[in-house]
Amino acid sequence: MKHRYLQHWPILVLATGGVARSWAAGSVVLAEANAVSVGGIQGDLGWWGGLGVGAVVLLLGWLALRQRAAAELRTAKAAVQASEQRWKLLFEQSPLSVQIFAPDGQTKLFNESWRRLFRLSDEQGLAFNVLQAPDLIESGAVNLIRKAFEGEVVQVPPVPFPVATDPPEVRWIGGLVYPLKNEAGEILEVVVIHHDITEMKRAEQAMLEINHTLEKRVDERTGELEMARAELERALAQERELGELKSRFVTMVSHEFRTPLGIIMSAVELVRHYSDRLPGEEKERLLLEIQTSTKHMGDLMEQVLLLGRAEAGKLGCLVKTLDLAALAKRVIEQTGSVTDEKCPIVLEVEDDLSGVRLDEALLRHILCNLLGNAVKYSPAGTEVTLRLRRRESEAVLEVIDRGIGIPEKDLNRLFEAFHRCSNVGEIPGTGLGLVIVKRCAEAHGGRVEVVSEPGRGTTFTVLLPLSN
Amino acid sequence: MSRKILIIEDEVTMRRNVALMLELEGHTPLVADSGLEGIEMARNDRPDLILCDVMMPGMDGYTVLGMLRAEESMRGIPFVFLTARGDSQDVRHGLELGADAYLTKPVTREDLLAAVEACLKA
Repeated sequence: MKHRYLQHWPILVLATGGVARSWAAGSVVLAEANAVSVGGIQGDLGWWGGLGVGAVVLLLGWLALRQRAAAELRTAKAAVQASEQRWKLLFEQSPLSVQIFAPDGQTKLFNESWRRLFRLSDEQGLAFNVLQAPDLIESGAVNLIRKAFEGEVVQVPPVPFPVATDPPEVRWIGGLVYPLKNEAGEILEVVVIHHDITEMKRAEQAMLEINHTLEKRVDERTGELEMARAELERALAQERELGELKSRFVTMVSHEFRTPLGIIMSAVELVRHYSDRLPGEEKERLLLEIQTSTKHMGDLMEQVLLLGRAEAGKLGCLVKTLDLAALAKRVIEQTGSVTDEKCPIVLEVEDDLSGVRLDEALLRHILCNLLGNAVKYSPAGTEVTLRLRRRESEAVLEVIDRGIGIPEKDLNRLFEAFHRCSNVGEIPGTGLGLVIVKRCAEAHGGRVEVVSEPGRGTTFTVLLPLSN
Repeated sequence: MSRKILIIEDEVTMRRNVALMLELEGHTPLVADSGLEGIEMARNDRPDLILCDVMMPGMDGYTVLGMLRAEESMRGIPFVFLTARGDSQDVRHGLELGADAYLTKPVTREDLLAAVEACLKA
């Protein structure tokens, strides 16, 4: 270190000489005054003496200053060294990845954390130019980074960036980018501190997937619950309907029994109270009515009991050889009588069915119910046809009417107990006839088919296997 | 005194027996086998009493009562249900509609004649 005053040494020498001469002259005066000899100095020093002393003093002063400067320099150096070491330690040991670029974007320096993050060799690292990296250009991050090279502090949001792991992977890396400038504002270096949010992204993704899985499970469970609820509602609705049907059955059966009971009662009352005034044939008619209605009630009772047996799986089939056409004729007559000949019933026999083996009781139930229904649900006077034929090993019985027909929505439930079609209105019925027909056909090993058109008519076909 | 009693009943045997009983009791029975025919006869013959079934094909007894009560000239004719629908709800319904009496089959001679006499006196 050069003391600034030392550059003016000639003046200092002269000044020091002047001061020295003055001091020497003063000393002689003092010595003369005190009558003491001063260190061999005698008489006047003169200018050259004074200059010499001045030079010595100045030299001593310069040496002192120089020593001081050296000490200050040593202290400063030590401080710088300490600062460098501190900075180096922080830089190298920082858990954050730090990379330093030159003003042209070329990598100058990076720390250990950077090496661990990017997995590049030092040569590869130093070869990297941040302003020319294809991935950063593609993601658009380079535009932000460029602003740092123009003097701004920039936060670059994380973008996907390939790192050279084995196998290679893409990590989400962003960074804080700081320009370092000199006093003139010129960019000296650009420092970037990276932050890797890959694990956070993966956790986020995992959370999303868990959420998605949970949502899916909730949806599935909701779906299951919905289905269970719908099933329960269906079951409840069925239960309700069954309850209603049973209630309707009770009402219907009550009505069906009350009607013949009403006839019986009126006939009995007439005979009891007016017998002396009634002609014989009138009394005979009344007694017959009692008989018919009693039988009707008996038939109804049997229908209910038959259905009960059928439902319990106890309907037997006792085949015997019979004349199907003859049986059909008897049932037709009976139906006509019961229905007051409301509709003419025509019998068509296409094949010889005189020696077939069938269960007569079951056949009666089938024919009575089908013919009774055909008449009941047809306008008065319209023809009902009973057609009998043989098809291979089956007897085919067809009952054809031109009545109100069966709505399509009722076809699936036609053979359910107590079910009445939606278009029956006030036409009475128990809702048991067709289920009895079906059970009787099945007891025979046969089946029932139906074709119908509302407003045009219905054809019931019963197919019964013929046993030899 | 002979009164005209209209019997509206689709079941032929029942219709005949009731008519016979009323005739033997000195009344003049008129018979209709459907609600529609019954209303026509009521308008034309002005009976003193109407005996009507409920469950009939086409027009039921409740509708018949409603239509007759809607006509001013018919409102005064006593109306009695004679029906196999014997549920208490049916009875209540019939009376609420304006019937003067509700008889459930099987009805005894006594009950029938008592209802007829009561309505004819009123």
